[in-house]
Amino acid sequence: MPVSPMSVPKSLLGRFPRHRSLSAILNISAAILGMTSLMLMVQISGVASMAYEVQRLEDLRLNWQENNYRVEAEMAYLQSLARIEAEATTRLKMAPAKETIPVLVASTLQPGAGTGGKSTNPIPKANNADPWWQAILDLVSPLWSKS
Amino acid sequence: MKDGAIRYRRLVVLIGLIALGGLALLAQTAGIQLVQHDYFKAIALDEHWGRKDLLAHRGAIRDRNGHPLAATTTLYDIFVAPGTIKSSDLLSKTAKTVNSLLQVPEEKFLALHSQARTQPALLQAGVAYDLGNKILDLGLPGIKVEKAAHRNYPEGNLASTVLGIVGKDQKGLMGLEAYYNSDLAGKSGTIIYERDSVGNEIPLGFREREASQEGADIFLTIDRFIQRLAEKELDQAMKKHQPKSATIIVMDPKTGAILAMANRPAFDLTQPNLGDTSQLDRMRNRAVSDMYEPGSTFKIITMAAALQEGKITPQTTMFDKGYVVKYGWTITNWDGRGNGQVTMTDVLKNSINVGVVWVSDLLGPEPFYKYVKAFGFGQPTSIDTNGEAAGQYRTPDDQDWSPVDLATNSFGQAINVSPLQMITAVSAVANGGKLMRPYLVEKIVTPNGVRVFRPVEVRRVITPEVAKTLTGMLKKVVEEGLTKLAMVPGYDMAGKTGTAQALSATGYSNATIASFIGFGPIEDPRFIIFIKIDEPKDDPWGSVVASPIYRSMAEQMLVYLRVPPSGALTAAPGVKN
Repeated sequence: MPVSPMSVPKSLLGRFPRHRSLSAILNISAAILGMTSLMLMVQISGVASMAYEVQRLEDLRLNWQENNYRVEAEMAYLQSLARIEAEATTRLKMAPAKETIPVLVASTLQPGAGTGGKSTNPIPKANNADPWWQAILDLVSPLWSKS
Repeated sequence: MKDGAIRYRRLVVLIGLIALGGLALLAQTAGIQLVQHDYFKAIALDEHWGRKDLLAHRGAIRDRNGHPLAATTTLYDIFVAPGTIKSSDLLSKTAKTVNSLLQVPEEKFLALHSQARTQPALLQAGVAYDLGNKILDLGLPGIKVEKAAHRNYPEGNLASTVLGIVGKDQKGLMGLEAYYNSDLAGKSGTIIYERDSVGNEIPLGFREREASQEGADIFLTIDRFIQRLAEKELDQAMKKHQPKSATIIVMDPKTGAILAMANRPAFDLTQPNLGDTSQLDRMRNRAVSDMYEPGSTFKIITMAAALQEGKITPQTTMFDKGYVVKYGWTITNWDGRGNGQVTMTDVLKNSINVGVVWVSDLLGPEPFYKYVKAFGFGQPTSIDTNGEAAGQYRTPDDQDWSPVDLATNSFGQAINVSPLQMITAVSAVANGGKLMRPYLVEKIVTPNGVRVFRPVEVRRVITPEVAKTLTGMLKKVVEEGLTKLAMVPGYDMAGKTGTAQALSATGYSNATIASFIGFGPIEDPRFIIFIKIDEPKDDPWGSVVASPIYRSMAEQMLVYLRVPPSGALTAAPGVKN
């Protein structure tokens, strides 16, 4: 059975009057096309600016990282033994000890805990007591259990 | 008709020429498409794709407490692109800006710009990072700015021969920089991107980024304080005794960790001159790569072997005539005098050559060389750095060995060892008989984790009892020996001097190698120190030249390491002793 190329589904006949249908479809299509293009442009523009932003942040990160290395090197120069000795002898007028007299002192310091040695004793743990508000929270809500 | 024929011929010629031209074009096209395809494809890709290298940050080398001994920062190198500024006004303005920023004379900039070359010319290297960024932001015409890694040495030339150097490409060339280059260097990254006709990156084009991986930080076993102490002592010794060279090694005998390794002459880390061959000699880590005849310090090994084999005790006696004749060769004591009836402790105390030759006779060649090998001589210690010497000596298995070798080897002549081998061997005595592998790197900290190097026990060479007995004998050497210059008041130290004849091209010369090796405190040894002074000008003896250095270093290290004296302490006011 031949089908008319201009046939419109019956369900749409009421909605689109025949005389307005073509121009309306064209207008809607043009509007959709325009909107799509606009959206595409906005998206492209967004992606482009995002790409530039990512690049800028990456440069910023590298810059900060480089500054860290630089500051660390500067600190190392300031902490160098040669500089410390020069400061001690010239500015503070210190001189090497002529004699070393070891003395016994009452101290809680563990052997080797000074600058020179490496202590093999475990470091005392910090007081990890819960803060006061944690106790209140525990009291108020028995369901919140501490892991 | 005639005109028609002419026109026809002209037409044929024209068509022929066009056809020939077409064929030529076709051939050329075929040539481009088929024969030179790869070449043109590469050019096209090169035009289309840009590549940017992301340099990896080279890791730092730190001492055992984390202080950087070598660290990398980024600087900038500033270049001039010759002939790129056409306007004379702009050229003059740029020259003035460059002058104000870099303090480079305007004439220098103008001269470089007027050069007839296409490659950029270096205007100033090592420009500070902030200033380089400022120049980069200004976008000055005719100026190219490139990042350049710069290796910093906060402690100056400290441990220069151990650290080694990096080349301009930041690759390690010597020392630890070379040995651990793959860890320190990290991995460079790349950005591959599409670019437009003028070479700029297309914002939404293809972009592939392979991030660079930072180099690892290396934590050495070296302590910068002890290292500096050793180097200061060496500098003083070089001034006082004017030797050819000198070496100090400090080791933790319990672990094999090298606390200091210093050599003189050394080189300037900040300005190494690889073109100068005389500088190369200064770059060698003599503590590891040089061999020498240890002289009397080797008597420790002979005694250890004999004690372990039960051939002697400290109280065993022998008669010392002052000389002994071995297969036609006369071996004398260092002073040419006989000491009469002496104990084995006396043999060590007075460094009696005839006494240790007697001991080596008791031992016999096979056990003697078995212990020499067990103590690690004649083979590399496998320390983690380049250029280690294995040392050498003849054994009865060698055709040119003779029994005289056994006699001379027993007091450290005719045997070549490295300073590192010597300290490693004697540290086994300090460590209750266990030979440890020496090492320079404690841990490697990478962005992905930490690699820790644990001490490695190579083997047990002697029993703890023998080690204790020998330590007691070596204590007597320090306290009752020839000069007592190695004694440290308040502490019990053990040690042995060495004075060996130096080798020259024609045999033994009159010059000597003065050395001392000692450890302490003997109850719980915290360090072992090896000192070698090559060919001192003022005094040939190890007891005079090297022993005082041991005492000076030990005194300062004991304070630094907070080791209480062996004897009674002075009580502070209000404290019961």
